Amino acid sequence: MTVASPALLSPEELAPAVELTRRALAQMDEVLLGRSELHRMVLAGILSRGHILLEGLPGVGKTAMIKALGQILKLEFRRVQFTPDLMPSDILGTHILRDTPGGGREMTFQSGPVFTNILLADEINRASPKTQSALLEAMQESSVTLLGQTRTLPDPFFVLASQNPIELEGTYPLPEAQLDRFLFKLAVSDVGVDVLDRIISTRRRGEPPVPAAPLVLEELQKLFAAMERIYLPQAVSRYISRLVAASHPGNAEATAEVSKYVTYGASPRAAIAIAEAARACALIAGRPSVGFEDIRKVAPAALNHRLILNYKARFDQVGELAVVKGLLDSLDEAGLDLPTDVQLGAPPGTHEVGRRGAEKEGQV
Amino acid sequence: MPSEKFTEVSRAFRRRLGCVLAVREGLRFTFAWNMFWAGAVVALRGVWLVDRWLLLWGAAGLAVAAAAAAIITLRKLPAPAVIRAVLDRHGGLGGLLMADGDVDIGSWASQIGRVPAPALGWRYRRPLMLWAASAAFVVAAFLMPDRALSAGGNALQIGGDIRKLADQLQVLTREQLVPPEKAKILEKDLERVREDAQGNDPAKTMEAMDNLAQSFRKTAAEAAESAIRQTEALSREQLMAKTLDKALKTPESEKDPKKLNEAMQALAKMTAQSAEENNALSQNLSNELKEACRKGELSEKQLEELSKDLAEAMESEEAKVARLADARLVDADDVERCKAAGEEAGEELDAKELAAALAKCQGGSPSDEADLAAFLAGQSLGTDTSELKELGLPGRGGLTRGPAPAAMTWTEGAEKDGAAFKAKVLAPGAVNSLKNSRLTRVSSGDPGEAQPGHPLAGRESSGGALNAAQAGGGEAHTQLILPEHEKTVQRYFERGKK
Repeated sequence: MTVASPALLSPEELAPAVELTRRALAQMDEVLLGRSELHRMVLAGILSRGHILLEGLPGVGKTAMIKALGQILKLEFRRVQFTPDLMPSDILGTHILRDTPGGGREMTFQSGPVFTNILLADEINRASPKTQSALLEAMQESSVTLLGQTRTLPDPFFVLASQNPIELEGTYPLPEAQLDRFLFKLAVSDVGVDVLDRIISTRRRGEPPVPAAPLVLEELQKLFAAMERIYLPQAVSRYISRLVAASHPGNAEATAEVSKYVTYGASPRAAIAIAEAARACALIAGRPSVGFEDIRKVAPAALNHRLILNYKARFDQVGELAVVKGLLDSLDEAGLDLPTDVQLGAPPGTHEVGRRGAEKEGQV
Repeated sequence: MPSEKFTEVSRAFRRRLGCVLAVREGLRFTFAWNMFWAGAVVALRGVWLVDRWLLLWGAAGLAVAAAAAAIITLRKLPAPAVIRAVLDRHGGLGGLLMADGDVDIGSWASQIGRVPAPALGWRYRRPLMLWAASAAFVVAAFLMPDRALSAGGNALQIGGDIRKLADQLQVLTREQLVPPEKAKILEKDLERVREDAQGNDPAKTMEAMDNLAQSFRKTAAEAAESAIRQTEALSREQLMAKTLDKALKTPESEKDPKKLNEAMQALAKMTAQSAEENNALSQNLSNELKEACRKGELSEKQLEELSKDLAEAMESEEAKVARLADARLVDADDVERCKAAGEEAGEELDAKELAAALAKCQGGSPSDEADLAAFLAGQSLGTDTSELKELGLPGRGGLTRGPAPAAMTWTEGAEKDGAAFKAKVLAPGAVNSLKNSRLTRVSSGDPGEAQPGHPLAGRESSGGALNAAQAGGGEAHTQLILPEHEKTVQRYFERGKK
């Protein structure tokens, strides 16, 4: 059942929140050139209170973008360089023995860098699985438990991680449980000639400008409050559910690609992630309700790291994104469930799946 | 509350979609029914020889199929929320139209503007062609001749003849010419004849059918003759009744009470006899009238009533003969004869005949007849009394003119030459051999010969009426055995030798 909204946000109520998102995006676009679409996805992730995994080649601006985000949001920001010898206590903190003024000794907790608002986990796949696992509780429950004592992390808490997909030597792939905790896995790709030209001509040593009008915590809280009132229609939530269910082989709506290449489909956490991210997309677009186009926008980033493909996918060089795209193309958003010989006209801006070369027939 | 503007658009699109789905489902269901129906028609006509027109009731299944299609369409029709989702997606409205169905979207409604409905495409050619093919199958199943549908191949197609006989039997039963018990037996006989009808012995079947038809016609002919006789008698009585009615109306001074009483007695006797033979008259006559007839004291009013009853009885007889003629049990001439019997007797029967009939009824002598005729003629029947004396009227035990005054007609007899079978006595051995013959196959095509040079040239199967039959051979068909089967056949026939 759809979570009930008190009322649909009016244009007047929505306008300040939209203005804040535009301000944040404008500054991100100014700091990191040629990445506007990626910035929108990152901001959607932040508004959804999700963790983001950025994957890309060295030097494409992953760390720079996360640092810029930390400056724009004006939240406490810490960076941890993940290395193979990094220990969990280096992230979470540890108890140390100290002398008390009375001459005695006691164990006091020295908090680690995880106790912050934005944690940059740079090159996260270079740490051992033991250290990577230290983040599981923090990412899911925003808390850390040490020696039987649970400590809550600051609110909001985001983990923005980066990893390099090509240097496999001395790296440890992230376990599925941790991957599933990331809202998005975003690919940071190369930029074009024009963007490169702008970078080297306008930036001395490539140093980005400092954001002029960062968002304070209160403004971020207003955005979170607006997010709560973005309406998710029943048909859209149904579509998300069908999409996630169809990522499992054996489901009635699963595509041939899913059946052939997917070993395990997406978890319920994926459905929650898509719904939240779609709300954020709607807010960024200035709409009070979620539409199907929001789902199509966020689903690839939310699902691609949650599908576990089999060896056949490797043989056929089929990636997760291709499987997700096939799912999005094959599934009818509205659930109209028309017979195969009855078809609707193509909605504007969408690809007519399976209709290319179809028999030309009369329009009714 | 959902906006009325968007609700109307949603409804219109749902209606359009419903129409497309209804036509599609209608074609699917009626296609399935057509195929089933046509298949059933072929099977029932071919195997069970069911009358094709009876199978037209299958058309009612089309209505059932259409109703089922409508129900399925209603079930398949998407919910209004789904339609809104479709329109939202098509119009790129970002969920606002969907939200409008659930919550109040307030001022956002004014920002939506016009909601375009998507085009609806249906690939209708294939289902339409399939449906047309199924309809053609139905038509073909009905129009195909019986012989083409015969499953047994050897069964005689006598369904139409049997049906005709069954109809005739029904008519005879309705007219009470055949008792119900006997009708049941005859029905069973007909059914047995139909079941036993085999192409290898058609003469037996035809003979059985002819027997039944002849017995029906004989029964009907007897009934028709009886009806004609009764009509004639009734018409005389009617004339008599009218005459006496007229005589009663004459002044007292001109009346001859004795003669009147005699005539009245005669009429009463005749009427009583007719009532015994004619059910319709017996039912029409009231008890008072019967009593009056019995006493021979009929009033003017009773005479009028009697005349009317007699007319109705005559009509009943005529109708009966007409029904028999409709069932082809009697000739149309019999209907005419029956009508003529009533009309002739009613209008042209003269006093002489009437008097003769009355006298006969009363057992009088020819002189009495003459007196009575004179009396009746005196009652302005328009007959010259002098003519009566010249009549050689038959008396008791004398000759009569037969059951009706209709003249017998004679035609030239048929020539036997070219029509009659030439009698030929077969040798006893040949007859016995033919009786023991066995039908192996009936060829439906021309038993043509293979081309010269073909390995089977000169060895073709041949069939047909006693083709290649030899006296004592008992074969009406020569079965071809392919070379590869020869060994098997040889083993079969030589199995007893081992």
